[in-house]
Amino acid sequence: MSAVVEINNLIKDYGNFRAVDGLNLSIGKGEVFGFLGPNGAGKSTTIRMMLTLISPTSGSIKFFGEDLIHHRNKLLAKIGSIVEKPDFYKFLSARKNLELLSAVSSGNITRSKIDEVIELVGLNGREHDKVGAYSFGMKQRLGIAHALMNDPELIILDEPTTGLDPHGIIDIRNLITHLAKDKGITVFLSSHILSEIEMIATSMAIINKGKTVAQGNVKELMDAEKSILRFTTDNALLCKDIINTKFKTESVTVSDTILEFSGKSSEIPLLIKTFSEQGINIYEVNKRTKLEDLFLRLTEN
Amino acid sequence: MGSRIIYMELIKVFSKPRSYIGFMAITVIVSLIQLAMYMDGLNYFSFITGPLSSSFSLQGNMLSGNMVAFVIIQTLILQIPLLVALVTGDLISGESAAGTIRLLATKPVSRTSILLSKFVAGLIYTLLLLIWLGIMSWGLALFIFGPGDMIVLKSEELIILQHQDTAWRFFTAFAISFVSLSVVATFSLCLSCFADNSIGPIISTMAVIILFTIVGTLEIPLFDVVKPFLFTTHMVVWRNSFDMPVSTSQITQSLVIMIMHIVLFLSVAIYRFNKKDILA
Repeated sequence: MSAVVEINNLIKDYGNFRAVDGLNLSIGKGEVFGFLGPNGAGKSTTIRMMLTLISPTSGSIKFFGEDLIHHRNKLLAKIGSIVEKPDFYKFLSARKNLELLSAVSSGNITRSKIDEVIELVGLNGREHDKVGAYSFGMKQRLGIAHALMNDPELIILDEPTTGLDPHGIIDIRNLITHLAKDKGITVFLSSHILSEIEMIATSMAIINKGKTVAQGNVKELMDAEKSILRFTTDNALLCKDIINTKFKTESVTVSDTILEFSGKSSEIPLLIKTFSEQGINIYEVNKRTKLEDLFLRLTEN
Repeated sequence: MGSRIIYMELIKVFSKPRSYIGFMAITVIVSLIQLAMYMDGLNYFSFITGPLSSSFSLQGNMLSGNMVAFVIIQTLILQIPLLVALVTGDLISGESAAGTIRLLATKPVSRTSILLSKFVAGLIYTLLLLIWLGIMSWGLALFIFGPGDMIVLKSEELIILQHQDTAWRFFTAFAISFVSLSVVATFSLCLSCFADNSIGPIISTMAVIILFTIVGTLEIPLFDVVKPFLFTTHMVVWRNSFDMPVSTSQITQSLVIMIMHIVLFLSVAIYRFNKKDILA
């Protein structure tokens, strides 16, 4: 089965400046794909090319196995998106915005469908207010409602939780997970919030200077990186000795009942088993995220 | 889908406060002129027809609705294009400035369809503005001053038109004016495709109209070569509707040239909009 998104050797030049430099991506159906990169890495340029806002200098973009240039309207009909800021017609209400935009969307978007997406993003009760009076977070919610109203098979979201309060962030995070898991919708998610990607993405790519520097399953990429493992036990000093001798790890810190050291997630079961065999009780095990470290290492300079 | 997109564009146009500036301006200016004519119109016409009094004896209702309407339309002919450009110059650039152009350009509709729907919406707005000008100038003048014959003063002749001979001439003049203003609407729409704010296209449209009008007015041999190709030269052809006899060949020629301008500006706009990288 062909990938939902397939980008091959994508290049975008602005004069002498190469914003995207031979980018390759492949995203399968139902995945939540995290798209990471520092400012100016080419994320927005890539998204704009994926949505035909700008033309690639060379390379190809395929959705559902079909070329975007040759089947533009057919493919965009299956895509919902938010690009950068959620801008809408300020002089119209949220509901009127969605009604008007349904005129240029695919399929027959009914009033009840608009009601459904408004409720889904929590804007019911405020849908008749003019968008000019909306906060950024409310516009962001409206942007998500807009992206969902044509029942897309692929959603491209550029920083969708920016401006949202903690409740809003959790709502959107749950919504993305629900859309991917329960409805089989593929989500392309560009975000600066690494923990967000770590929590909800199933696969990801990190780009830097227009090139892919890492791509793959989030769990595999993270497991390949050493994490900070944190154990809460009733005998931290004994644990430290075991780690030093059996696991040859020197940099172990102990503080009261807590010990921390650098290790891989895959080592956790063996550690727990070893500690238990020595009669040590384990009350809690945490793995501190290392995506920041991975991100910084791959995008430095 | 075409009619739905045009409907969407019309809703947007008429939801913006700026779209009513033209209607308000026409209402205020025409009302003031009508009031001034009502108060002191006879003196105004005595002043204009003064030089003729030694050769002609003018009798009857000089201040007819037809006469007043003709004066008003002639006075406003330079302002109306600005009112049109105020809206049509904003059709693409306004969306770029607001960022909403991204909403449209990521939809499963070709950019050509989007631009054509904006073009049609712009023409409908222009037509409504012109109809309002007709109601306020001709309709209101007939109501206030009543019907009557009208005098058309030209540089080399004096034309007296009987009341029953005026209605079709006004309708013809408004139809020609619609084509003239459509040239302005298309030109500003075209400029709108090159800008990311609406001020530039609106000011540029007016600057070009003023420049072309100056070039068309000055009697310099060099300018005589380009005058037939300037759309402003043909925008005043509506006045020929009040000639005796009406020069249909001249009107037709001007209409053809203006329609060619519309096609040219629209083609450039479509090309530019399709090629445009949307970075807003």
